[in-house]
Amino acid sequence: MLKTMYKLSLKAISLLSLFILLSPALADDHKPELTVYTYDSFAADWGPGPQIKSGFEQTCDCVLTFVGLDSSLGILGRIRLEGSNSKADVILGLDTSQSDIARQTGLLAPHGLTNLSMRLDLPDAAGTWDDQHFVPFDWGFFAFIYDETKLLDVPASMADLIAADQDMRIVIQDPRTSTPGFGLMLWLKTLYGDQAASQWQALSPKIVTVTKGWSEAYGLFLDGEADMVLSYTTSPAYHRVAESQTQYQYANFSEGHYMQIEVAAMLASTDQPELAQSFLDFLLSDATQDVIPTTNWMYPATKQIALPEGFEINNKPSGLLLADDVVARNQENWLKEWVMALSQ
Amino acid sequence: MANHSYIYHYAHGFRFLPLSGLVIVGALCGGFVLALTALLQAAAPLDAPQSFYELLTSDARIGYALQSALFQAALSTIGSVIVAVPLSVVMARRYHWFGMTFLRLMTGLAFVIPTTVAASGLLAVWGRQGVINSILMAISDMTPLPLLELPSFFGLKAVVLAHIFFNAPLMIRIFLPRILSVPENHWRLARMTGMTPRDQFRYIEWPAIKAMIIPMMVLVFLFCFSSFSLVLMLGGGPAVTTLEVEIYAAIRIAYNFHLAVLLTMMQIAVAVIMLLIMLCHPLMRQTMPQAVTSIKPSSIHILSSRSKLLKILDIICVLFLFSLLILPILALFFKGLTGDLFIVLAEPVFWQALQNSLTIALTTACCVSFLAMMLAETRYQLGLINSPTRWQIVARLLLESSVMITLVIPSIVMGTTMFILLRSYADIFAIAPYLVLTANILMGLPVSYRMLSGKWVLARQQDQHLRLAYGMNRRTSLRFLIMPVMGRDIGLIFGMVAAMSMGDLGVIALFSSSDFKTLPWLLYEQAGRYRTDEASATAVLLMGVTIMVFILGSLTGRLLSRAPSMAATHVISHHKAG
Repeated sequence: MLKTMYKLSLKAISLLSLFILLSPALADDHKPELTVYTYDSFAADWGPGPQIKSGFEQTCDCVLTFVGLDSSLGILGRIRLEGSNSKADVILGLDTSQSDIARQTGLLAPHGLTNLSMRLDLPDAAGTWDDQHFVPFDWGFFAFIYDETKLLDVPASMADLIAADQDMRIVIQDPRTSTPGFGLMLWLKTLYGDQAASQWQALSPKIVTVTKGWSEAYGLFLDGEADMVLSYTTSPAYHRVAESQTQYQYANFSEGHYMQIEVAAMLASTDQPELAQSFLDFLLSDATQDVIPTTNWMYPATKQIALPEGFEINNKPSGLLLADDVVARNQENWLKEWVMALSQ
Repeated sequence: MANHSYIYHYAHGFRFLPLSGLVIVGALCGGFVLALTALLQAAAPLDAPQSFYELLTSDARIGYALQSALFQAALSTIGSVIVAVPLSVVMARRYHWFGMTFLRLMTGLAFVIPTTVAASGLLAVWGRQGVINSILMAISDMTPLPLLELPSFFGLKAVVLAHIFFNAPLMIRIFLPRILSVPENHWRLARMTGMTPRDQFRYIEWPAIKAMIIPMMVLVFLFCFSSFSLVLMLGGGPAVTTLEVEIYAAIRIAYNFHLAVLLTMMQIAVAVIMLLIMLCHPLMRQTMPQAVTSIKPSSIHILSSRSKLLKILDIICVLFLFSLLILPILALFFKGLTGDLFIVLAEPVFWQALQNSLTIALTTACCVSFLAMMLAETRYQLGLINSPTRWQIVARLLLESSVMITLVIPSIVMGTTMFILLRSYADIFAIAPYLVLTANILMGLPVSYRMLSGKWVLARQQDQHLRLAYGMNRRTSLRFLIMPVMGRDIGLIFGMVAAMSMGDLGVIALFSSSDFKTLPWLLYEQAGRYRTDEASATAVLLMGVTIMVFILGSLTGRLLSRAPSMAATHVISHHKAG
């Protein structure tokens, strides 16, 4: 019995292993290759990745490869695991709340670009950009999105939202797995400090669910499972520009909106430091910044970029942002506090 | 089963005892140890010398997560049994009712539907905009009744409901054939003595399924205990959690591998405790010998009571199963069948992902089917002798526990470990398909073994006599004696595992790159943009392919069992003679 089964299985396995075809790396041998780790939607066909790739390759005589990982947390986890053996030359898509943690790994190299602060156009809350490792390439405000045909009583501030009726249903993301979720945690922390836990408890009856990522939450909102969803102030712009739908709006909170600044950096272990540096530089060129708004649905990071139609912000909210080292020092405790506040 | 001495002699004919399965078991056990040590070694050294005990007591979250997971898993398991046992009885009793064939097919399917897809199906039924709520709203609009609305779907109840959605059908899939294979003369006797349905349950149906109750409960308990995606999607927040979720957080966010190892060991401990409960439970000791046959159950006339009340109750039961099982799937289909279906079908990336997924799924299914058969064969041979030696008992325990433990090793731990172990030897991106394959095999093995081993042991016991009586060699006996009886089960496992790995995102998230996309990864990617319609279309396609793969498995099973069944003829003639 066993023998027969062995023979059969050997036959089957040898046949089957023929089925698995490995796609060989398509890199052109003669040209240097620059590998960029990013999150999946940046590298996807509809993301900014392909356009940036073709733009950069025209200038550099090299091959640019985007590797799309499951999330921006995935990028950080991946380079930590790979250490100095990483295939990546550049990481792209962390935000400033993770930047100090990434810097502490010692795996990053200074970008060496000068005059960054002259070229950038970030909200005041970001201060003067003097980060030696990270180059910002886009930014956004976190905000709650609603459908104006369905939600009539829109909260005008975070305090209003926390004090709103039990009927209000919101869906948010988990700060442990998602950057908007983490942003909301920092948002409440900035506004309420030590009182944040009790504010979360007051908010919790209105939270329909906490999802793992942005997409699940936004999907639930579009399906009508919630009145408001945590997303970005640019989300209504997507609906206006890409779908010509005007009923989606963001709730403008009087306390200000927490910001996300997405950044890129080169790894110390890269064998292409010049190429990596010129790529970081290219991120701030008009060629890249022009495609960011309508592919990544974020605001461009540099001056002189005219926002596409539909992106105009009325009453531009004021930004809130905590220093990255403060976040790095406290994030573990703050996450614990958040988890326990919502577990009661 | 007479002639035990005869088997005894035969068994001693094997000089080398069941090596194949034990090699697999050894590999599994070695793998666990290697995995956990590798993780510990890769962990950043702790700031202060901190023992595991200190780690355990320092964080209130660990205790909370354990408690929450145990409670949720217990509820889900009990719920699944409460649904599965009566429904198995009803589905056996009403075997010929209209639509039952479809319902039986669906019970096999539910377990393998991708979790994320199923969760949105459940939402489409039970959510705020779901079918049930829409009906309730329509009723409250038309009548002066106060406003009816379902409470928010998310939270513990949603997780438990989703687990019942997955696991109750799995149980039915195991219980139903057992009831159907009760010999006809038992039913005849029941009719003659005028047994009530209650007596029938007590004396016929319950004895037929009771041997499988505890193993299935343990299996389902461990599934629910180590649940991940469903808890994150439907749990409503950190209040409902599992150790698996905390392990994910420990590795991905806190980058605390010590904590991850500690939590994984806790999961293993729970699995071992469950195993001990299973082995010591009184229900497990009194298993009565059963005949397994390949007779189609349609030839069996199960006593159907004339009682109107019973009929109505049965209809209610079937409708309940329909709303639990079929409604979410239907709702999902209607949601996804939009114009975007053609957009997705027109994209070459879809076809590439489909090809990758199919390759992985079919290879996984082949490997798992063979491994499960080998393990079942080993299990049979270890149980062959009436007075097993001590090492045989140990080997048996090792076999059961290593398979069980595989179930609770989180895929994030598996993936991270593979990564750490292989990073200096190979290009992770290039070998990604093999890693995904390995992870999928490990994922499919426990449930396949559980579903196969019981019947395999019985079939082999029967086969032993016949083989010697007919003087068959091993190959012929595999073809004529084992396959006719086991073919459908092997096909079922094949289909289930293929479908499971078709829909699993799991470990791919760690390794995937643009070079190697699977369908669930494509779905994940599509969901990451604003166009949710496209994602629902892909979800429907993914579900469609999953169903097709599953049906392919069933067809293979039929093909395997097509050889003229001497075992079955034997059993029939035996019964007639008796």
